[in-house]
Amino acid sequence: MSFVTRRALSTLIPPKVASPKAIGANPDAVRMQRVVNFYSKLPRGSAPEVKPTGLLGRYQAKYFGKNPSAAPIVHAILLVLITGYAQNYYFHLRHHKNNAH
Amino acid sequence: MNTLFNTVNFWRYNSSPLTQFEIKDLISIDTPILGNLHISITNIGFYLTMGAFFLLIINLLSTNYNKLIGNSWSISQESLYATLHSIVVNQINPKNGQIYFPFIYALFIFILINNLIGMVPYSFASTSHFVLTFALSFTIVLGATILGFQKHGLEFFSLLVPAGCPLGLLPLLVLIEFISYLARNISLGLRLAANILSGHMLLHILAGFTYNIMTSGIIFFFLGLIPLAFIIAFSGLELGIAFIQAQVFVVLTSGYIKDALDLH
Repeated sequence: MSFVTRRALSTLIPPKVASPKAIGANPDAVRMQRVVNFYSKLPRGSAPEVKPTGLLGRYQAKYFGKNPSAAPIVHAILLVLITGYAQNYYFHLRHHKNNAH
Repeated sequence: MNTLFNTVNFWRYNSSPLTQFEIKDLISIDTPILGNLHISITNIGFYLTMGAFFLLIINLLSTNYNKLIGNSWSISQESLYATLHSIVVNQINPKNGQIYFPFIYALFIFILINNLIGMVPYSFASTSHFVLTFALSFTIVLGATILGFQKHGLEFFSLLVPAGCPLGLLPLLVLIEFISYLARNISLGLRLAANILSGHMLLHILAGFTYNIMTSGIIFFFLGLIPLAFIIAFSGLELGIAFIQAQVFVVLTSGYIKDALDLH
């Protein structure tokens, strides 16, 4: 639709102005009912607590849930440290047990 | 004399600061098939797997159960995301560059976690190995080159011609630009590995000296606290380098992708 025709039409058709009569009209009432229906079915109150399951779930609940802490970083460092020391011990350190240097 | 002997022993058995980078087989199978195939899990493979494991766990757990308001773990993930997003948007292109975001993000987090794992005592610095970093850098530059040819065809070679260059100088400049383009392969991987390698070697050498000082006597024990303080300070510096090198690697990768997309 060209600009000129649109301009002409907009002067012909009056704009929709909100009025108390228009709001109470039948189609709107049906729509409002649908909106009310939708919201009335939504769950109310605070979200239910989800019980953590499994090893990872319990770990998450403990350190990543409501009270997040930096402990997992310490755990990761300890894991790397222990596996690393075990490897170092096996490959190198045990050969120097009685030969300190 | 005994101390001297001990020192000699020290240098003979434990001296080389490079022993920490040795790649050893943890589990291996020698199979008499396919020309005596040697299948093994090495320590570098082990630590790379461990890095992947940590990343998986941290990404699974730090979602705060997909709630709208994050906790500190999910905020840390989001700020990491936002930081890398801003790198991609600024370095490549706000419009066409964002499709490279997953690649850049994965690259950053891979380098970072392996740098950080390498910082833990008794562990292994995977990113200090040229075999790893060169594999990354050569693949990235090759990929960027293929991308450039795909986008621009033979016009991609105009990347080698600096803007406003006099015609007489052109052959020489094109040659120089070509060499510098090829050097990206090396420099990108070398920068990361050399930084991590040198840091770990420095710490190892200083620690060896300090150990020798501190075990020499009660006075030397207290004197040795000074170099020990330096070692701790250097460890902090290395922690910074672990972050900075991951960031530098990613920024340069973005730059190379941008070159391929926009030809300067």
